[in-house]
Amino acid sequence: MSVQADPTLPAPRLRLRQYLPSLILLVLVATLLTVMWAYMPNFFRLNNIINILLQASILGLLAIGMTGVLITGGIDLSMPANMALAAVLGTMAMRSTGSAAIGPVVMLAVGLALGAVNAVAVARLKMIPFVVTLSTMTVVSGTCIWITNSVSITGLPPSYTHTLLAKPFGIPVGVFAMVLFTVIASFVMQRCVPGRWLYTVGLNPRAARIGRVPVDRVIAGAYLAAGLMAGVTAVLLTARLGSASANMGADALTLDIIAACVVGGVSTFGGVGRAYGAVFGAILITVLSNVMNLAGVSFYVGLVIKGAVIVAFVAAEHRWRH
Amino acid sequence: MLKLKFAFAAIAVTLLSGAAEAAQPVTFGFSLDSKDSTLQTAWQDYMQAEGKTQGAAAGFDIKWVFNVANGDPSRQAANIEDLITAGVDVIIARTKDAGSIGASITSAKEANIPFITFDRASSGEQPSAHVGGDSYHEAYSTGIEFAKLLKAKGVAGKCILLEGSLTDSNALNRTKGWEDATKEIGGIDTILKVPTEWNPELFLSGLSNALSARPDANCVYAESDFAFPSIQAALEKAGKWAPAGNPKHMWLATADLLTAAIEPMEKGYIDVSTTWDALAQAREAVRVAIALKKGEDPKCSADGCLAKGRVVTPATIKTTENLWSRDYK
Repeated sequence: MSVQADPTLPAPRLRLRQYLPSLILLVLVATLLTVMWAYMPNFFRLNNIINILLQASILGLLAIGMTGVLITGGIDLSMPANMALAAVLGTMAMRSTGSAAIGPVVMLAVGLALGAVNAVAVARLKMIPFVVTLSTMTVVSGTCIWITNSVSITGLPPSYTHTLLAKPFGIPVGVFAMVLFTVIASFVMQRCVPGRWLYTVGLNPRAARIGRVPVDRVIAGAYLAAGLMAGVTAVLLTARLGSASANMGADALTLDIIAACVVGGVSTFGGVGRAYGAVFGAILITVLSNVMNLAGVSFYVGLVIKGAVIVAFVAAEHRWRH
Repeated sequence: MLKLKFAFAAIAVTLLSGAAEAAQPVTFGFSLDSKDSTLQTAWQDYMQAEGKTQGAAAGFDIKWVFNVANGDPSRQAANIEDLITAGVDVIIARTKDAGSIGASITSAKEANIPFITFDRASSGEQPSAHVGGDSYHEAYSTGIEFAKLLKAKGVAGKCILLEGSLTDSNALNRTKGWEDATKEIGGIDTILKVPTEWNPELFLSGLSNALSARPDANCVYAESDFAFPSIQAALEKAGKWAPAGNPKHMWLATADLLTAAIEPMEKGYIDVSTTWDALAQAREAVRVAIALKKGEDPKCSADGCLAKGRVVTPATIKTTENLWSRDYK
């Protein structure tokens, strides 16, 4: 009895190529951790490990959303701005109603709605993702500043912050959320048909169309998912900061999200990458920042080191792939 | 004799080692929201210098850890968490966002680390202390000096007041400081108030309109000189841009004496200003941090520990020490 290979699965060599960046990343993180073990005992305090995972959770969740978009060959520059607007509107809703439950609902709805705007523009109107999401970012950031007058909105219901800042088994809710969404996204991308379509569309949209893959719907789904992840992140970050403001969508965050994805082996050309890889990338970037802070490295030197590590990693990955 | 020498040597060694032991090593963390102007660099440098001086006097060997959040409140929260993990003794933070710093203050309190908000206060959870500039005093001291100057020159001042944002407490304090000073000394009548919303465009259009509406105005007080090029443009347009001594000179007083105002003051266009004093603020922050580390009351007012600026005139601008806006370029 012969076993037929699943045509939607990548060939074994390609599969190995896809896993290798994540493996390299794991080795890199392990090496970094070993060095830290020797030179910075503070680093391995349980508090610090949890602290790093909590810090990485925000970046990791956004990176999961970005991964889907990058795999289709697109990009979503508006994620941090969407997150900020979702947070602001959700917080305003909570303040005006006094209900903690309404906040997350509004934040997820706003995230999805803004994702839908990008989805329609890219998938339906065939606009260039870079231009569309850059425009969305500008419009949303402007709206956010206009609504808030650049003043942060505080006064969240205590039940909201208490619930989302809880630490079941000593682990923050944000970390659980990151793990949960990583598992869900990885499962969908690797085991479900729509997830595999993402790769097909990203590798060759024309071939995908001939293969009767609903390309437009797949692309729209990726932007909707990115919007949803911006909403999820808004829920957690608002609780963590105890407020919402236009500043939450700082430009620097966009670069960190893309860096996390790229370092995690997600190709900016589409068709390649894993959600858990992007999350590992987010953890590596957070570890780098944390290590430099603990070591008292100057901010500017820190930026140079961070940039150099990212470039080195991307160069190594590019060399291996080609 | 030899025994005596040994005895002296032993005493000297004991004293020296005692002195060395007396300097207790402490670490202060300073978290900056961004580092996009020379003001932040000046704060950092002055704090380090003050740390050495005040630290030695208090018996502390102060080590500094600085981090920068690149304008991202989430990054700043993470940076402050890293300072807590590193076990610093006191945290000083300049926030971009008055709301989001509250969560970091709570975390520091849970870790029993004193927390000082610097320059910008928290609108949520309150820190161990707040250190900032004294906006009221800035305007008050300028007003007093300016009124004295006009009296000495025999000028009856008819001033246009360029107000800041009406929702900004700094701007409101400056208006009050100016009004109190001019009322106290007399000789100045504020004939028109122009709200600028801290918008350079409104500095220009507002002052231009005011000069057209009140051609009898002979002096201007600007609640900040960050947008001084706009003020200069409006005066040029009105034909009133001339240094002191020239009959066309418009008497000018400002607050802050930021980089944009240095050259105009050196050339005699600005008559009086009070500094937004990075040195005084850094000095105050270090004093408060040391007091908190010692478990003492830093003795702040209800508004916080506010550092007063220094009055500067064209005669003193070159000799005023540690003027960051002149020295950091």
